[in-house]
Amino acid sequence: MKKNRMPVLKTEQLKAFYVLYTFGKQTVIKAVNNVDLEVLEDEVFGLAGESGCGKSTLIKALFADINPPLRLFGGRVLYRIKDQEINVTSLRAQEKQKLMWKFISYIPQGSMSILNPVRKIKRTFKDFLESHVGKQARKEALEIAKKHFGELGLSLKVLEYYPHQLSGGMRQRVTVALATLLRPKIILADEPTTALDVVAQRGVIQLLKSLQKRWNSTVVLVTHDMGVHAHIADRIGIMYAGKIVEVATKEQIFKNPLHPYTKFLINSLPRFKDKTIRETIPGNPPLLFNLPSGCPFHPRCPHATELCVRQDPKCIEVEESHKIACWWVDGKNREDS
Amino acid sequence: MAFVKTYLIPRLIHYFLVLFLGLTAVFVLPRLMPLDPVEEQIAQYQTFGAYIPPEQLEQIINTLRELYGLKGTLLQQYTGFWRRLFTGDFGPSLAQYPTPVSELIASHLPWTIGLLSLTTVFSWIIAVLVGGIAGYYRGRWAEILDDIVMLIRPIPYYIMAIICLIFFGYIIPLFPLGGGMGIGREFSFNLETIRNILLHGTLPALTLIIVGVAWQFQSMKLIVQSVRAEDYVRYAEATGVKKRIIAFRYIIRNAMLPMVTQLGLQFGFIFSGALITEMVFTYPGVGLLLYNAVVKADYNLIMGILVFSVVAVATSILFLDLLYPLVDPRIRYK
Repeated sequence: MKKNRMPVLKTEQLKAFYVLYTFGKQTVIKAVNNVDLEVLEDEVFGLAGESGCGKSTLIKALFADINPPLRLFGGRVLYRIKDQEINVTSLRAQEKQKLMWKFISYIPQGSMSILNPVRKIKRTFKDFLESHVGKQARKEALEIAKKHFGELGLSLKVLEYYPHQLSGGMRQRVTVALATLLRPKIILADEPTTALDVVAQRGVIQLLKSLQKRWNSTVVLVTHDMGVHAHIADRIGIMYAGKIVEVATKEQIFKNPLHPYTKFLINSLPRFKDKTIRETIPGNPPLLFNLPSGCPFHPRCPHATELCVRQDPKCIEVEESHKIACWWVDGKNREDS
Repeated sequence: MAFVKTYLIPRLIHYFLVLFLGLTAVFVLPRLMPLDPVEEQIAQYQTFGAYIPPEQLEQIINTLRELYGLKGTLLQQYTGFWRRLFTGDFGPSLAQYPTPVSELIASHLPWTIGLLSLTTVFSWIIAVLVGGIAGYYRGRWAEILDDIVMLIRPIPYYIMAIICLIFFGYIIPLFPLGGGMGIGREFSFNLETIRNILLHGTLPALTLIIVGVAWQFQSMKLIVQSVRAEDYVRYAEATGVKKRIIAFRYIIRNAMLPMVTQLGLQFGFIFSGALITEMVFTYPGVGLLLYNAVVKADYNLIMGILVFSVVAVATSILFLDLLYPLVDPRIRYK
């Protein structure tokens, strides 16, 4: 692991909630709740957690794609561009438009349907290029797309097709190609392999990894598939109920998980030659509009104490490059802080 | 040519089947009426007090039956009906005896087609563009536009037509009160005549466009609202694709597809004329012709117009089906 890398993407006390009104009753869904996150340059940062824990919402917030009913309730999202930190949440729409896709790009969940069904792939590429590059490049849009497809090892014929003529895996690769056309510094990928079989999954993951290596860019990868994380992530963040509960390197997470939730998560993974029945986490994930007091994991945690019920732990570094948010670490309650 | 074999031929068979059934209905329906047109006609003569001797009466009845195509058994009538269709002979008009029905339709059809094809196309284009842009941008002006449309929409068409007529024809006499062109004018290709025709057509066209735009605007706006929530639109927006590009190539382009179907169907109805428009503005189109035919119980003429209308609707749907892949590449003929 390379040392002294700068964080290229940072959040501070980020709060992004969904506000819903049903029959005059207001419901606030705390999907991203006080998240402090640092993503370094030239790394693959994996984000894991069960369904409905706020992974996708966090990615949306990182991309500053905050539209009602999602609202920003506080905190900042910072991009580091040429050694300058820019708070995207306070940028005007026009300035943001310049950064999106060029500096930071996004492969959304269910990205099979992000291509306009009645436009050829090459026309979609042209539409995106037209909005982001100068007049000169507009004429060469097709050339740029072709070159990029060549680099990614995709067939040039694909450009002439409509989305419905492609297989799921191919469509996913085209979306990766579209998202990385301008060599963005940061690529946010939200479940890029869902709905693909393992062979196609591997193809897409390897494509992402090779792009990241070639351009030294940063990939933030969301998936609940720990196998994918083990495969390509450098560091992993574990999310639970809208919070990051543990951040560490891949090795630390898999070999030495500290947070009780992470421990359950890692222990639930099947292993070769191990035929014992996997243990599951007792209870159910909390409802994001009705969170328990204190640490949101305490109702399911075997080590919960009175402190856990009362107070929400902060995410604190406990050893090198290993942060966790838990009052109970290594078998004892932390009395400080 | 898999397309011809697996799609075109079955589709054409389907088309001819529809024509056959539709035209058969045109033949059957008048015969289900409890009134005998011939007896009606005779009764009409007799109410005028004319005395008709029995042998003459027999002759008149025979002639009338011949004219109406009511001679012989039902089967003979039916085969006769088809024979006449293929020769394009619908018999003479009864009200404007002895002008042939085909000639009457031919003289009225250009007016209707001229007026309705223009207004249909224009109101469609305006509605798709304005509805698409208003539905996507949703500014203050879009709300005002929406309110205006909401006000116009519920006004019954005939009231709208009469208001326009009174306002722009009578109170402010900008346009003539009716007719297709100035009285006593012969049709010829010169600037003056064309200007005159356009002047007469403006008011009927205006009312048709206002009403046409209003309802199509609303349906377009609704379709746009669902298209703008599609993933490809949301993604293009999030990644900073220019709004103008999204509005035209993503929103309007995709929301247009159901509207194309609507346009195709409307084209079929052109041939039956715009009944109320032509009545209010005494515009010499097929609608007015049909109205007069109904009022005067001109059976031959009614049947002629119905035949035209059935063929036109079926044909336009056929064309729509065949041309649809041009606008939606997802449609494939297996």
